[in-house]
Amino acid sequence: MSTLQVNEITDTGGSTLLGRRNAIINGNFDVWQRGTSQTASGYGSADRWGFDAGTSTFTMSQASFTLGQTDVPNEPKHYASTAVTTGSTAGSFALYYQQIESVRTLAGQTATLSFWAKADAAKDIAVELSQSFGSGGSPSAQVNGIGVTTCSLTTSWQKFEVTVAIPSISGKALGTNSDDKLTLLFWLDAGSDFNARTNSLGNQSGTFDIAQVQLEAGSVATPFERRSYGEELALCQRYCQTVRESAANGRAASSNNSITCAYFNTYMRFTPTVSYTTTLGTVSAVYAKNNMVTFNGTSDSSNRIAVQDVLLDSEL
Amino acid sequence: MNIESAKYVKDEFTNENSSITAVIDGVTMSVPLAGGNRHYQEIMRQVEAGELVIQEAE
Repeated sequence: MSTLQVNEITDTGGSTLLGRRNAIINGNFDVWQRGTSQTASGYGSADRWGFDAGTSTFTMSQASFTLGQTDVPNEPKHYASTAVTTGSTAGSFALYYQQIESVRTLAGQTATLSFWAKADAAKDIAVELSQSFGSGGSPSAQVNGIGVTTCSLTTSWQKFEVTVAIPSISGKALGTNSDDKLTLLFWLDAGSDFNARTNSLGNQSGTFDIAQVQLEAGSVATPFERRSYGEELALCQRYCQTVRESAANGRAASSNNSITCAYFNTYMRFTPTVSYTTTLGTVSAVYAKNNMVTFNGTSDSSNRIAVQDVLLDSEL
Repeated sequence: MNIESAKYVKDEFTNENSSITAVIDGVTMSVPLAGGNRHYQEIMRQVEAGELVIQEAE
């Protein structure tokens, strides 16, 4: 029988140094299935990261670290760079967020958020967490303003650590649509309507760069959890999958109704929305499941039907 | 989320509505009739608010 000798266990304030510490998916900004920049609210660039703005405008882009740089440790490849132009009203805002599946995530626990950030000049941003109990039925009201903290950025990369007491969900009611969540928000610009959620951040324009985001149990920020690209991509594919080239091809016995389907490796969180481009024939109906999508339609004169650039979206 | 149009699609075997074809933010999408889908939620929110009408299937 072999024995395992543990020489040292460092006090991590209740967290664990074992795997799966980070509740954030794509915290290292490695996966960009939809594209490498976006200017519209919603999802459009870095996987799992959404953007929202009201009267303010923004461009969120993939940016790359220089090989060998030592400002941010462990050779990360990318970071998110967001240029904001404020609308300068009380209701103006610009933020990006990650919605973490299940409001049970870290509920009733002390958690620590850590990330690296800089800006084009000395500027504050605010971080906030919120708990949503989902939709459908009679869910409890969303809890906003959890752990609101101001972080003062400079023009140099700095690591920020924010320890938060995430409320218990005892006595709360979930909705019936399986879409409850814990949301992390980075407020970059916020008019006075949002003072309570942003420590009165205020309106501002500028460029904000963020890298290596981690949210974990415990009161101490442990080193950033590195996952392989394949592992991170698989985690992202629960919420978004793309097939850029030929996704599904079918051939009918005659130029009549044709069916073609595509299967996906990762089960999605919920029945996805499907967007696609038809390259042969005509698609008249799409049937999506958690792991496959079927395209029904009429084949072309050569009895063929084909689609490409399929995007399946099952984000919260 | 800017929803420009929405139209039901019927299942060819059951003849029941099976999905919604919608143009959202300039992209044509097939949206399932599923409460946990965020696009379906937004379509129904806009319908209830009187901002959107879903056309019947052909």
